[in-house]
Amino acid sequence: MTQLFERLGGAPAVDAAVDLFYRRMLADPRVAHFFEDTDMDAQIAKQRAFLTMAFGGPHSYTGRDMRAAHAPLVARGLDDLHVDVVIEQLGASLAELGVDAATIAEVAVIAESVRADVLGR
Amino acid sequence: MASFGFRGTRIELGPGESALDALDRVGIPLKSGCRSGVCGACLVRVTKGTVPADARRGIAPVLTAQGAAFACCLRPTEDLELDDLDGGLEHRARIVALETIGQDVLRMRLACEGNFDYTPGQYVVLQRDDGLERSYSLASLPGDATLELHVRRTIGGAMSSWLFDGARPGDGVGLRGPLGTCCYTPERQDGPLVLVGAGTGLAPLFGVLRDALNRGHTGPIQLFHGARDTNGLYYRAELLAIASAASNVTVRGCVLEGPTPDPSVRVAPLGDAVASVFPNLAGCRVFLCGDGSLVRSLKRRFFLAGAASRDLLADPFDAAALPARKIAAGPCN
Repeated sequence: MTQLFERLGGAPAVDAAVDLFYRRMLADPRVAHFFEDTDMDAQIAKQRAFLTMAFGGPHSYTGRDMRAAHAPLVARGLDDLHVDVVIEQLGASLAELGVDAATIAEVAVIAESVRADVLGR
Repeated sequence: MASFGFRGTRIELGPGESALDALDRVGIPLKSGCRSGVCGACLVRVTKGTVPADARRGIAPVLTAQGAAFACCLRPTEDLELDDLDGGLEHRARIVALETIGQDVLRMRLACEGNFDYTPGQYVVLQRDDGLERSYSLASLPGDATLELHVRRTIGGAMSSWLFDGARPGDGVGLRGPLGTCCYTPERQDGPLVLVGAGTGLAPLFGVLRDALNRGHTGPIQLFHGARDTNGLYYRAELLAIASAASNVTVRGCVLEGPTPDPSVRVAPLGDAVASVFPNLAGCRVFLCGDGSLVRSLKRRFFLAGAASRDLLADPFDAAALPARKIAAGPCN
């Protein structure tokens, strides 16, 4: 896991990816409505933590945190389609940064691993 | 081992412990997230002592200039003093002058007892002696004899009504601060700065603009001041004087309702006026101050237009009453 984080470039890679990723999410009509009325700085901090986790980096998330954090969104209709969009846009952001397809697939596997917790299943 | 002071307690660090670990151990709550120097949830202010580089890696310059460090990565080798990042020191001040400088805009000058260090663009919490508190941005520079605040009259606003109609020079007030990070830092000094203020959102920008020039910013600086109509564009002469003295400064006014006799003032919403000059904001440092909902929506718009999140310095003024002793958000000029 840590190897992946180091290969991607560690914390500076998270810095480089977070704006690209969050801008894509805000601009994507399939998910943008979940970010209405949210504080941008707080959201960027959360995305930063999420990317760190997805990149195989150090994090302190637990399944229970994931469930609690996303429960209000699940109540507003968050479902598999939206998780698919997150993973798709995460991959597109990394591709924009020149990350190869095999590495993007590794990131997608980690992001996929929290799907059940995020969706409260 | 080293120790640190925080919220009135002295805490000894155990072997290998970070400041955050030690706070957890002794039961002092500090917000935290990734615990690995990424998310920024546990930032604290170091007011005394040397900070190892690891505890500052990746933190925006505007925050490190104010002493910010990651508590989760802070493993000092010497004793430190820490403070909450949003904490502020209490001061006493006296009102020196109250002058109307525009429609429903009051300029208040305060003399602070003792030293008051701040960076232009920051704000203070003004405290009336009965406990009423409101936040106001500083329009002055640290070398000035007085602190300058711009107060907008809000209908039914307890503090602004008092300042417009009741307060007199000589009255004493409390101040807490300085607070806020909407400040110029001397980096990329040949890059573009875009200063966007609605109404009394001009106050912090008037400080930031002059601070950037004093610190030798050579890149183009565009200031956009927005108001409902031209009566709201106060400090026009002062701004134009700065622009005529500094060749890299352009001052633009924009109003929602015309007419405007002044050809340099456009009739357009503030965001559209900025977008017409800067369709793409990549590489620009943007300062955004004024009404909270406007600032938050412009921040998102300018982020989508390419400004990097760390280059978007926003100070949303929220008019809602602040809970006593707590700062909910930015200033409410």
